[in-house]
This record gives sequence, structure tokens and C-alpha cells, in this order.
Amino acid sequence: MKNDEELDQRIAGLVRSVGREAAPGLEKRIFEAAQRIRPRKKRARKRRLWLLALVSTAAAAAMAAVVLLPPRGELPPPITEIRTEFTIAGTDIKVVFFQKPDFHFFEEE
Amino acid sequence: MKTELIAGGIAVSAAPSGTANPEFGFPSFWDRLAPLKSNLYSYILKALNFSQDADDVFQETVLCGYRYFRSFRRDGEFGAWIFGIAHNQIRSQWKRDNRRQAMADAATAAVVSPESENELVREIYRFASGLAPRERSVFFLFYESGFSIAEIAGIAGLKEGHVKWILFQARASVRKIMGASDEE
Repeated sequence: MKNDEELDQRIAGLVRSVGREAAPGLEKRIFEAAQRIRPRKKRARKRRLWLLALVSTAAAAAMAAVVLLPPRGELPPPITEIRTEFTIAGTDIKVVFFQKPDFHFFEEE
Repeated sequence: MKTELIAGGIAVSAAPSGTANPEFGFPSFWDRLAPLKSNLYSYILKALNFSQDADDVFQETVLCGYRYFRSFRRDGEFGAWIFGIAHNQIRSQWKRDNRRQAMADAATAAVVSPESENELVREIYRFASGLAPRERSVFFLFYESGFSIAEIAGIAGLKEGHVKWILFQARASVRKIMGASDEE
């Protein structure tokens, strides 16, 4: 054999010299089966992809809302005054400070 | 639409309803399959070592191709696409049943006619039936179906270097067989 190409051609010829026919009625069987098949449409696949994207986005948004936003309940009452008390050591004097919203330290009236 | 036989002996006068080409200007699935069906059947038959299951695998391949034809890129190579489906169907069949080896010789002997190169052909088929399934598939895609190395790599999902290596080894083995045959 001179080269690989010639050898390949000879092998191909020998390989193709053998065959067997399909069972009788195979083609008819295939066509009958094909009649029952509705070819898959691209549009349906696109719709599924769109739906999948929508569902996953909605799920991600819901998870983000749960994680990032604080839970909503009753708000605590507003602070209306700050009270500070202390007793001067060695005396019976007790000093009490009240800080209210309308109190302004060092502010002249 | 008139459609000729796939591989056997029954003429079918009309394709199934719904096979008319929905996209004007492009050949339908059956039109594209017609020139390839004989080659496709032979490939499946030989890759499965002449098993009786070849008819079922051929049917599954054609139906699968028909079902998913709309996903086929119109500018793509239909032959490589349908043979790729066949390759996957054959692989599924290998997984279902690995008794092919025992059946090979008897089946091959039944199809080889008593001609001048009878013994050489028988030896080549005996060699092919002894190959691992994937290698046998590559062997027949090249020598039976006439695909290029790049096309076989695409169909079988292998690298081109791997395909070349499989063919190199097969060629060397067949060369030995032929050498022995010539000496006789």
C-alpha cells in the first residue's frame, strides 16, 4: 500500500461492500410514529425560558426583601424626657435633672 | 410530498401530515433525511455489530430528529446533526445492552456474501466488532459514512487528536490484517 489515503479508500470500499436491509415495514412504522409526534416548537421553549427567568427573579426579590428589610411591627413610643438622678456623697442632697424636648440649655429667653 | 424508502422495501407515497415545510424556502426534515437515510442506517447497523436492535435505534433516531428539527440551525450541517443524534441513540443502546460482542461474528458471517474479498471483509468486521464501542463508532463514521475527522469529532464529542489516534490505530491493525491476507 503506497500511502494512508489509498489504504483508507480500500478499507472504505471493503467496509461498504457489506450491508443488510432494514426490516420490512420499518419506514411505514416510522412514518406512522411520526404522525403521532408534534414537533417541538421553538416558541414554547422560549416561553418556558421567559417563565423560568421571571420565576427566578421573583424568588430572588422575595429573598432579598426578607433579608434586607426589617420586620414591620408596632413602633416603640417616642422618648419624651430624659431623667438623670444622683445623690451627693455624704449629704442627703439628691439632684434630679429632667431633659424635655422644649428644654434648651444656656439659651436665653 | 412524495417520499421514497428509508432502508427497506416499502414505498411510502406521502409523508405524515404536518411534515410540509413551515418555513418557506427551507427543505423539510424528510427532504433533508432522504439522501442520508441509507448511510445513516448502515452506520447504526454496523456500530451496533449488526444487531437486530439497529432497526429500533434507527427509528428512534429519525423520530428524535423529527421531533427536534426546529432546534436545528438552518445554516448547519444536517448530516452531522442527524448522525450526532444517531451516535447518542447508539450510546444509549450500548448502555442498555452490552451483549453485542457475542452476536457479532454470527451476524457478520450472515451478511458477507461469498465473493473474492469475502475473507478479508470478514476479518475487518471481526476486528471492528472487537473494538470498544466508541472506537467502533469512529471507525464506521470514517470508513462507512465518509465523515471528515473534524466532523467525527463534532458528532462523537471527541477531540480531533483523539479521533486521529483511534483511526491511526485502526489503520495499523487493518494494514496488518491485509498484509496477512495478501501473504496467503
